[in-house]
Amino acid sequence: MDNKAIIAFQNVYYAYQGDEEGETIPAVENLSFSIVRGEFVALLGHNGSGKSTVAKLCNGLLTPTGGTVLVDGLNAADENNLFDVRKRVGIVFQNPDNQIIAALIEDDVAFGPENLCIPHPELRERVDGALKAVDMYEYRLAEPHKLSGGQKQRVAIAGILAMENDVIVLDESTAMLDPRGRREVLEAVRKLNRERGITVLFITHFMEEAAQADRVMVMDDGELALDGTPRFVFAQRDILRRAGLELPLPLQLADALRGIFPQMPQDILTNEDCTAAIAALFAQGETQ
Amino acid sequence: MNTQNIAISCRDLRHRYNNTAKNRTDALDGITLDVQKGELLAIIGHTGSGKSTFVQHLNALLKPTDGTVFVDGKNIWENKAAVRQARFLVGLCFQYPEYQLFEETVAKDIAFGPKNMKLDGEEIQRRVRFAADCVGLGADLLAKSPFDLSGGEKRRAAIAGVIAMRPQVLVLDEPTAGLDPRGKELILRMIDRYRLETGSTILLISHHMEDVARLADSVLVLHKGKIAMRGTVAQVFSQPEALAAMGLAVPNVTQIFCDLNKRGLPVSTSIFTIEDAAAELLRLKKQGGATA
Repeated sequence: MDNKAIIAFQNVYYAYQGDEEGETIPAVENLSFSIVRGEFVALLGHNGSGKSTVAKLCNGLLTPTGGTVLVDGLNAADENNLFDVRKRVGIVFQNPDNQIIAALIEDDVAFGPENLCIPHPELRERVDGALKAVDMYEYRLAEPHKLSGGQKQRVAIAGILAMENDVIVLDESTAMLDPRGRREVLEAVRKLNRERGITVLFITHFMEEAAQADRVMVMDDGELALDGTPRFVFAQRDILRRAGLELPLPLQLADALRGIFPQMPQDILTNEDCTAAIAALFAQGETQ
Repeated sequence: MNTQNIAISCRDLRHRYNNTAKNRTDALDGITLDVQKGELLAIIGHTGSGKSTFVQHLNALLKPTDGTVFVDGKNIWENKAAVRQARFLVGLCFQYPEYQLFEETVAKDIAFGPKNMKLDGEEIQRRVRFAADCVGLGADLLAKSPFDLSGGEKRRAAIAGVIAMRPQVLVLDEPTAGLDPRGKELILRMIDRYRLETGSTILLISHHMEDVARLADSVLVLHKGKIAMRGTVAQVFSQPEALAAMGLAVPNVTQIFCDLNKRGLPVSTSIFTIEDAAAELLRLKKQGGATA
């Protein structure tokens, strides 16, 4: 199992420089986890819990102050590995307006592979393929400022695909989008994960988005507070509350209804679960 | 209609970007609307529907291509004095207002607006304290650099800067965007409390239908620069299909009740909050619909 880990954190520490000399502010403390190739992992946590630090540690934008980050077995702290690490892990950041640098969409997507010195016919193929994969091909000659936030984020994802990275880290990439944009981005990465086996680390504040992942990790004060399937994680109400998170709405509703209907099941996660459970309460009534 | 009770009134408001024959965009296409004093109006619509363009007309940041905006009964473009007056009467808090923090301390940043209003020093201090209190920033934070605050605190400091001008109308453009659940909850409570204490008119642009259902009296739906719906929360959220066609959704709870209704359970679909949901199912249970 371990040899298939595409990202492995081994007792990782990271501390930022404080204002005063010698002062450090811990962001990540003794963090260990691994992500296997092809997984879709959601990472939750309140602001300042260390999520973004984890994202930046994943491709060597930050190097740990203690412990090791391995990307496909390569030590991300070793400068000689940096090129290979970044060829494997790409990050989409929060602000869609800060990531597009070219005047045309296709030039922007080509920027990464051009830097990898990909020759022309292949470059064209990669750019077109990447834009098609996120449903942005018809916008290849558009100007970036004419796109919506969700479209810009999908272009950023295409830029990573064109480099043929194995892992896409989305650092609150849906936070600034409207509901449609959020849906577009989430659907795009889910499709890439399903169809191409791209590993996804999806950092978000939206519990409903996290509920759609294979696995959910919750960070609190630089440590991993929870790690498991969405059903397991969202059942740990006290830990979630302590970590400053809210429950997905279907769970909140189920909890509120349990006062009236004690038989309301505990393992509610989605709208469909909730609808089915409520319908069942009343269906029983009719049969008796 | 009694115009004295109207805070904002727009008549056939149009705004055209790129005003050339070949390539023009009607960002606002004939908006006619009255907002009552003390109303909390939520504005929803997907990106590009004209929400932000619309609110920037209310304090004369954008000049309409056509049409008129009245604030407190006055045409805001009548003369220079009216334009200036509109900027003070309507406090506009942009998206991500924390990017506009610039002063040495939080207190000075909040004081910037009142200073521009040429108020005396004592009044400025009073307003800084009032605004900081409204958004729940303690005295210890006021002396800090705004850049040392957390994301949620910065957001609240920036909102305080607008509140300190004591506008008659407070416009908040996606005030909770990008915040974590804790930061978001503090802002929502702040809006509720500010409204209760000041009775101000509030316009709230939001993508979170749960927040709209919780806070707003009424909802304005913009679509392609036009008013698609204007009504109470119940009137607007009882049209899930029409909203979906515009790329919008009803609150999640409402969706669940629509689904239940489709399954044949005799529940109302005018359910917008968890409290509504519990009450509705309790009603159904008492009617003998369930054994529990």
